[in-house]
Amino acid sequence: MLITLPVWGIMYAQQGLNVNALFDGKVVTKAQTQEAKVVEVKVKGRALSKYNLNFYRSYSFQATPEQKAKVDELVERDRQNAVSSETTRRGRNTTMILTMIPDGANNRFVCYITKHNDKQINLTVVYMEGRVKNISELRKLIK
Amino acid sequence: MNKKEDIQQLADRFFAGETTLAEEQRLYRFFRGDDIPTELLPLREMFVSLSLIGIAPDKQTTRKTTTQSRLKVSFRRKLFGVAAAVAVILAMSTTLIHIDREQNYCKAYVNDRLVTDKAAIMSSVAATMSDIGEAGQTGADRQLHDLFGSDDGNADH
Repeated sequence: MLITLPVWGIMYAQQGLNVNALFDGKVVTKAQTQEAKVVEVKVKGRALSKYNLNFYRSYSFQATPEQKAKVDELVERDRQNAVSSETTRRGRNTTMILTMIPDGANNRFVCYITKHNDKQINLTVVYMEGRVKNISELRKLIK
Repeated sequence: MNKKEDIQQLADRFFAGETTLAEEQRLYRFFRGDDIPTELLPLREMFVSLSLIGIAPDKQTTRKTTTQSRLKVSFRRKLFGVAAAVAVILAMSTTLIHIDREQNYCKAYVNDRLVTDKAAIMSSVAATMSDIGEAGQTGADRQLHDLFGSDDGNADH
């Protein structure tokens, strides 16, 4: 007997996040995908074991000022619900890391990276979950 | 031709080895009966004895056939059992492979095009992780990194 399991779409404890609107294509429409050079990454399971994570999803694109404003707003709403947040600025680049409310044994993190290159704004939003305790521990595993 | 002459003719053909099995059975039935002409009585004992020998092989054949049928059924049952076991193993393997694919995957969409090159995808993940890692560095760490570290943090997606 085959057991069917969910594949794409809203997975795991990613439900309830405002940034899901970005992953669902509500900020960058299908028609804008090519122009925005969208790169979506979804990784689950064994490949993430070195980071002590079990799910990773990222959405990267070249944003217009309007799209950046939308993403800023979505991330800010999630920041209001976060357990903790840290923001690092380096020149015109910003990295914001939110620690969200855990889902059972899984800790959840949202990362928002903005990079300005000349006239382009490159945005990356990452959702991660796993057994890694916190961002400090994750950083140790990244090295 | 009357019955007596008919039987006599059959008996003659029997002794010449020319009778069919059906004709022999007919002879046997006749001589097992009670209405036997006097002239044919001497042949009765012989045909009755022969009729008994004729029945025994049939019974053996039936026994052999029954045994063969039982063996066939037994073999068929074993064959079905093996086929069922193989089917269950195949179904379970398919399920396990399906579950593994659901629990472990590595995909990317670049401008809506699916990419499954795991190495390339994990390289992209590592670059993003590097950005996250660098973001936690203090001013001194950052300067040291700028002097001696790699440029992974500036990777474009």
